[in-house]
Amino acid sequence: MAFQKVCAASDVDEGESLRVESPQGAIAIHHWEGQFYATQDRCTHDEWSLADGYLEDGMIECTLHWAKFCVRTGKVKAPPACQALKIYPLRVREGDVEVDVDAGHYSA
Amino acid sequence: MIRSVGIVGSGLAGAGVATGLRAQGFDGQILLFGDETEHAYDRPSLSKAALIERHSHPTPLLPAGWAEINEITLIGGQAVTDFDLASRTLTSAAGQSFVVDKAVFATGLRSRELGIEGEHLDGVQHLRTWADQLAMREALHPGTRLAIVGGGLVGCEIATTARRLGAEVTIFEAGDELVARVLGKQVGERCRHNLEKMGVTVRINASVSEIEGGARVEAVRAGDGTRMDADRVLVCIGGVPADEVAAAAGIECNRGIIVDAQGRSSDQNVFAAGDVANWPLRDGTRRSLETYLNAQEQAACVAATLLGRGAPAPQIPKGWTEIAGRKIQFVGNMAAQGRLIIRRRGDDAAHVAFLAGEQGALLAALGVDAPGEFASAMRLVDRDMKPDLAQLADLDVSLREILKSTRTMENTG
Repeated sequence: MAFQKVCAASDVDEGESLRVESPQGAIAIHHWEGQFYATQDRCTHDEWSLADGYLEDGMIECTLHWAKFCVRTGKVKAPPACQALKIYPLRVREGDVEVDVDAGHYSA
Repeated sequence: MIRSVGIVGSGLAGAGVATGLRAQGFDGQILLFGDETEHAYDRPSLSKAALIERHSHPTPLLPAGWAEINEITLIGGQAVTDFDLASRTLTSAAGQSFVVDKAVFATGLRSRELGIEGEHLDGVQHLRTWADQLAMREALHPGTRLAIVGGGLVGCEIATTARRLGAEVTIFEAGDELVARVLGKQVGERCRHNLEKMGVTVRINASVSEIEGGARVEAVRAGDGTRMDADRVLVCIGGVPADEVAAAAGIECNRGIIVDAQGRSSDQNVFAAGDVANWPLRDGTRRSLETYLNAQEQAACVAATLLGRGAPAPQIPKGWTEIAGRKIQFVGNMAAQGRLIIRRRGDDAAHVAFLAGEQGALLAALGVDAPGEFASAMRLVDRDMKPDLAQLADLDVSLREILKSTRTMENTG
């Protein structure tokens, strides 16, 4: 249980997502309306990186088959996905985005 | 006040209406009828991953327990065979009757038949259901001679999959190009070349006049008299909206249940969503769309309409396919007339193409192995935006930037 730096806040523009690697698998950092969120990067429907996706209305859309997930809760907002994303605790410290990569979990 | 809704068909559209009703707070009874034993599963994967990876179960569309959690009564394994409009009574094949306040038809398509000799021989099949997929899987082995009748999306997808599994594949397409109706001729030609590179034999302008065999299929005879030995025949020449029950009840139908842009049929208590719905399009025409995303949008629209919150949702077709290893995505009608704008780097196969109409309106877009860029392209077309066309062709400007700047301009303009 430890937060570690995964990127600088300035690496992820407002409305964009960034893929970062971790020993537990790739994580997507989303920057939406001034807040940062961390979810698993792999779409639960097919092998595809969500950080390549389209962030809109607080949801990340997979660009392959257009499944959507809430970046805050990881919950499915549009099929064809039917399983939620893992989400990770995240904090911003002195311009760094820090994620507890060992604490990935599903929202209640 | 609606107390009960009966939804006929438990695929993407039917399950979408059911869960959409609950998501929007409907607390009455929901009956969801399905003629298969499996409900709400993913059909696009039937021609791809389900076959290649030998899935043991269909891929679900919804999380486990969705019906119980949402208090949806599933009535599976039996088709609805009758609907009485006056009393709003749905009757199943097993003879059970259910009176509902509102009925939604989401019965999808049934496979179109060739209407030729030998069509019902053993070893001749369609691909629409999980059971069809299992039958296809049993038949496909290295060396299996597979004849595919119909070079549309499903035919080309299965040709790709079957080649990967080692089958000898021949496509018979009656028209002069593969997938031309959906993707346009240029893309069709590329798909044909790519399939041929994989070892698929493609015969265009080739109808099939007879399927020969004794107890089971032995050969396919083409319109020009040539004969090809075949172990298995897949007939995939499109679908016919499964609107018989609605039509027999007196609902207005014509290649699907005629609905307005909110899914309302000719009767105030009857609605339709998904492939069975003949739904208005944004270009002023109307038809059944046969695409995943549109079925989803129509289901959401019908759920809202039932609860008195619907807004007209004229559709623009959207879809994806995977042919010969290429990921192809499209929005709008690429086969329409217009000016083609192609964004491609050098000889790279990956590209995004737009079709522009008069006054700079974007009619359609297509992406080949470019999902990231296509996400922006789809929004530009879907939202009827009018970006600068010269900029669209400029590879130094990303589509994402164009989308952002066009949106800002239109919001302030």
